[in-house]
Amino acid sequence: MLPLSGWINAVADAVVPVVQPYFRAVSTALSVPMQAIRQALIWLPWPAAALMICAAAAGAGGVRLVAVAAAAVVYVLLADYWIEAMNTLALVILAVPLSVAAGFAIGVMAWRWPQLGPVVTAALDLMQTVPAFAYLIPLLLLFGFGPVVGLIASAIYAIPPMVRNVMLGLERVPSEVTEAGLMAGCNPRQSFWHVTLPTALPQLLVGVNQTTMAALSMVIVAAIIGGFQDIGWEVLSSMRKAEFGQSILSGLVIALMAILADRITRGFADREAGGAGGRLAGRTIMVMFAVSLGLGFLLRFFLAGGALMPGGDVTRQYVTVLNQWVLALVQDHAALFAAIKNGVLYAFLLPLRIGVSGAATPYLWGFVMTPGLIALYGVVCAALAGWAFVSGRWRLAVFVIMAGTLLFTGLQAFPWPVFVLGLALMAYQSMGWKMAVFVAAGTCLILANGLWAALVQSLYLCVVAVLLSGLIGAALGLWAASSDRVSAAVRPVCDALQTMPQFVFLIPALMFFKVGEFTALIAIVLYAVVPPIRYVEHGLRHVDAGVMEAVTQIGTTPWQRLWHVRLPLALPVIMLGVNQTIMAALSMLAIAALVGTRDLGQQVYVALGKADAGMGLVAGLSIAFIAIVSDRLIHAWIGSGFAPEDGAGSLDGGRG
Amino acid sequence: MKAVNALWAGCIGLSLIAAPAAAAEMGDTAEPIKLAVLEWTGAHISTHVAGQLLEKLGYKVEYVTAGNFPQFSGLADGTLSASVEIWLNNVGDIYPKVLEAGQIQNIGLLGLQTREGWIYPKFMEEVCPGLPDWAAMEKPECIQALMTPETAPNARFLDYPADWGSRAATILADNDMPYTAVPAGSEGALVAELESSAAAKTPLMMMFWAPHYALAETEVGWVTMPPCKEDNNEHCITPPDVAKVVWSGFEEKWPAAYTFLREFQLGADDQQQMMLKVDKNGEDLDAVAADWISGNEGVWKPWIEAAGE
Amino acid sequence: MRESGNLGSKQPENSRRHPTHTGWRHTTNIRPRAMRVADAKAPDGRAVKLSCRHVWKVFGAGGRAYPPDPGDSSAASVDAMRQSGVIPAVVDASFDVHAGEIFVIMGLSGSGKSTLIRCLSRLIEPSAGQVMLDGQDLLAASRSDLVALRRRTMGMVFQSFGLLPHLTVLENVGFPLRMHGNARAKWEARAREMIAQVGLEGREFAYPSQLSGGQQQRVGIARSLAADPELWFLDEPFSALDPLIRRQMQDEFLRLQKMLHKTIVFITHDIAEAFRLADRVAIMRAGRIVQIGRPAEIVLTPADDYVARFVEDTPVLRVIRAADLAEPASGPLPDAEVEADAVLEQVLPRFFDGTAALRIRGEARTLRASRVFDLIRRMPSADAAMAAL
Repeated sequence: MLPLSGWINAVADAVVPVVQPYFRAVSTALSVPMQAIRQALIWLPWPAAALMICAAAAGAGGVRLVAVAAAAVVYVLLADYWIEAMNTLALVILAVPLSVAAGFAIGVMAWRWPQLGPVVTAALDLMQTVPAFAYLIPLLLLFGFGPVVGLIASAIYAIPPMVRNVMLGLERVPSEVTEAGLMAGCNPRQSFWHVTLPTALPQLLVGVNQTTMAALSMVIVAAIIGGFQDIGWEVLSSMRKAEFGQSILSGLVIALMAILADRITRGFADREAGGAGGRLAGRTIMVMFAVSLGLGFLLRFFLAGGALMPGGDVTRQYVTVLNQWVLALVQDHAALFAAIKNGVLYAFLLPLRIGVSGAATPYLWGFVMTPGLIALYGVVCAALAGWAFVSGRWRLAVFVIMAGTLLFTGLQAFPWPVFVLGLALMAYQSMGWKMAVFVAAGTCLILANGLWAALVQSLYLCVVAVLLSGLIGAALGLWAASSDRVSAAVRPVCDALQTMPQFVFLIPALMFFKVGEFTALIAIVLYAVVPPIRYVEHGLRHVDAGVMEAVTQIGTTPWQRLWHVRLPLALPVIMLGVNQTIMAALSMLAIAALVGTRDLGQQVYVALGKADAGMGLVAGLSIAFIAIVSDRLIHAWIGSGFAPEDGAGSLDGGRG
Repeated sequence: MKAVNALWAGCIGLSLIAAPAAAAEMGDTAEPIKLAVLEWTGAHISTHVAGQLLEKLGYKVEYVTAGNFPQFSGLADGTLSASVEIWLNNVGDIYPKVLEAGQIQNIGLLGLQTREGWIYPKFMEEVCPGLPDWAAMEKPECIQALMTPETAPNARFLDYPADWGSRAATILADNDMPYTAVPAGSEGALVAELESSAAAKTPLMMMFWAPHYALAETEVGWVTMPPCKEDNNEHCITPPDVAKVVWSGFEEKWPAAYTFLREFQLGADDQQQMMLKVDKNGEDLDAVAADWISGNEGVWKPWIEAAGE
Repeated sequence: MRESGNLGSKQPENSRRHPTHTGWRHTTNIRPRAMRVADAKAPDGRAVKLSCRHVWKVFGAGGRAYPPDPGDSSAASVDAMRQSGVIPAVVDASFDVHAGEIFVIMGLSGSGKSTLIRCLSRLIEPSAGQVMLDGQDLLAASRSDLVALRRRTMGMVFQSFGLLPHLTVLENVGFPLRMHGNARAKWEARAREMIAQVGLEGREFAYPSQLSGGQQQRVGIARSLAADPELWFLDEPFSALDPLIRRQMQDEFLRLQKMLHKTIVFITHDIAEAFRLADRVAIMRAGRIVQIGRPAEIVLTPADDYVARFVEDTPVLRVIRAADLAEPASGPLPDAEVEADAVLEQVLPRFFDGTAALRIRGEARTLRASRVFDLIRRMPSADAAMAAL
């Protein structure tokens, strides 16, 4: 076994003391503005802060957004999480500009010197796919205990979307616009600042939006370190206590903050892109900010601080009711939940994990694989493969043999050389020998580090989760694409699933289905089901209208249109959705570890507990490896002829 | 010497009223003592009681939320000053490391009477007749009730999260018990299973500890453990120690507070009562802590006095 | 500084050097004088403004030097280049543009015309060849010289307008002047003037996204002229517009040119547009210029089958103008006059009453009826043309 994690720790032990002072200096430098913003936000009486938030909402999106903002403020006050929300806001307020600035600089460099491109892309892929849990310990060692670690972790995760959007935006500036600038006599500096940059601005603002969302999604992870009493800490605490109501209460605060941040930043982005009116002018917003500050001073000096805070007693009662309701549900329908769980387990999970050979026992399936049955199974597989081979589809034949073996042995007992070989072959087929070597080397490295079992378990969880999410998501997406009402109903559910901290869903899932892989599966699917819904709907709805008219005129039935026209045409978009689903599922591995899994995510989590930086990084890199390989495979499969519409490269959207 | 002592007694008297004292042995009263507030309610209570008493002594106190493992990083470099409820059975690899390096100092036990072992919801005594004796767990009807598809043909045993170490699995193996230990993943998962099992009367056998507020809500039984194969932490469950830990520079910076914290004790009964008030009745944490302080002056007065000497 | 007249004498030499280069089949039967491409002076004595000699642009060459031999533009060598994976987008292009002339480069998409116009302004660096502006080598200009040159002497209009989305009409038009460091008052005044000239008064504060395509291109035109350049490049300026708007914009363009007398290089893929606007047309195919001439020459004597197929459906009578067929008067000048740029379609009815000849207004030349009818009879679609009349 290769002690890679030991080596990492040895190197870290040697290097950390040397570089620590510099990082501590950075940490101290960062904690000054962090403290200042926190103090300012906590000092600011809530009516003043609320007015500011509403002013920003008015600037970004008009009356409806103001209503949402006001409702969010009222909710946070009623739930008695104002201070915690402000602490979280302080983190985000500092993390976003930092990430945006860093992302902008990196993006411009990568655009200016295209030879940097591959390095930057690889770095971004790692930053987005290595679970944050994995680098919390190294960060803790370097930067010391405190909220700055959370800030840095957020920044690491939030920088890539900005970089990708900057690169995309700058690349997409029409050559004619740049040429027009040159013909107007711009020198290179003028050309960049006056022509290229302003033209790319809408895409850059999309980047700011995605960066904000990414920073917010890291709040919970940052809270694991602790250091300041933020809303993520509250969610974590309620998770520890298995307080469903409390976790919903605090989780909603994060969800509302995320939704508001999303709508406000996107509103300003649209505004910049020349959207419609109905919004406050920039100057008016500034005036309102000034008024809010003045109001803040008045309130602070003429009223006692405590008098301003409404209590949260009302909401706490509902929380208790919610908890009792969940327990009652568990009590009344235990049999039903058990049946659902066992159904999926028997039909789906066990055959994949321990194979037909393992599952066919009197305990589980009620029969045993006799030698005769085994022979029959082998003959059927061989016949299918032979038929595929004879009809000229040798790849299908190979696939049938691999799948047949897999189904028989299960992933756990699947011989690893076959696995490595098969994966490398696939990589070679679609992307050439370089990728094949990368895949083979990566899998061998994981194998050598003794993480094989964890890798297989991760793959197994991910495969099942992606299949399930894909099926459910595609069905919902299909439905949403055919009905505006369904679409309108599905959208907020998707928003909530993506912005709510996942921990919140773990608790009821635990109560209903107990600790185990099925609960982990539920948690993963709840998060990974969103991309297929969105991408399938988007893909189907945006099939070229001219093509649809043409095939309707030909006299096709709706079913034919769907099957022969819309689905094939939407396939590239749908495959992007599949990619996003895989990314989402992988990003959930570390969180699903909280309900007791044995995969790479659990390894990352165990490493976090033991403060073992090396082990965490190795396991985290293994997850990143799966993510990057599957991402590349899918993109190779989609082909180069397709550019994603919402831009920002391949790995955006997946959140930790 | 006597004169100094007398002076000190006076100072303490004053400090109990207004706490303006700034004598040398008090150390730096301007800079707040940062107490780590860990994730669970019990720790919140211990910390706030200690914090309020430190304030009485004349110190400024700041409560800083900290993860159970990350806190050692903070304690090691003084970002955190002290942590008063550290369960020594759950300190990871980092605690011995920083302790050995002399960056933190263990200043004795909190005096919390703890218990750790295998528990089951009360109704299990009907499912597995013979409980709480461990032998009852091996009876076929008990195995059958606890069997799940994931663990078949074994029965399922809910273990601590993998990152806490899995002694239950070792002990089950030591005794050849037909159980498969399933790691819970988190404390929340343990609590959720216990609560839902009690509510739905689904069989459950699990590893747990006390004091824990969940035990105040759910009636459980403790299994009489099988004999230990080896007498060490891996193979034998003994009640875990709960210690108080400070940053290595604490004694020099706040000498009086150091002495006080060494003396500071909190019993399981007291803590459990306060936990109930906070978690079940929704009372304010600070108020509950203040209540206890006002009701137990006889308990804490000697600690403050010790700090003065 | 080479006298531009030298260039004229070089042409035959080049043709000799590349025997496979057939040269242009100069049509001499109507106006021999106009046929020599490399004339130092235009027929009316205008000087050469922009001169382009053996310009090549090869894409995808990486660090390699392409073309390997700029002198060898044989079909075989170009094919060999394509085989080797590089793309010769412009192959050995040579022509002169005279001061005040509308020079149209016509070709289908992919023929290299957009690359060529970008080589003229060095938005793209040519791989080989020479571009002379007022006798000065443009390719030798330094980066900063180039910036200065673009500020003073060049303006360009783009197919998809190339407007800056974040600026208003006023700011877009004033943008070049702003970049030159002019004060706001100055560039604003000039921008307002240009906006008035293209008929966009009242839309000064609109953003490009709020304008129609025609209006956007008016902004593009105003911007390209804001710095009052001598050279005006138009890269398919009207291709993105509706036919009606296109027609309107062409008229507008001609009106402006009558006022401004710029030296113009105009790119289009629409042969009707080329003939309608051009003083001279260069036809490009696969990177090569296959023919240069006045519209009438191209219609009447296409250089090869490709050009012939191109002009097949062109309404000849709408392309050929009175001046194209006029001859120096041999006898007394007739009284009846005709405009020099009147197309035959307009002139023809005046011969139906038996008039033998018309005088070109203001010139000592006449247009004889027999010449016109001769021409019509020789046309491939003569029957149809006559029938139409």
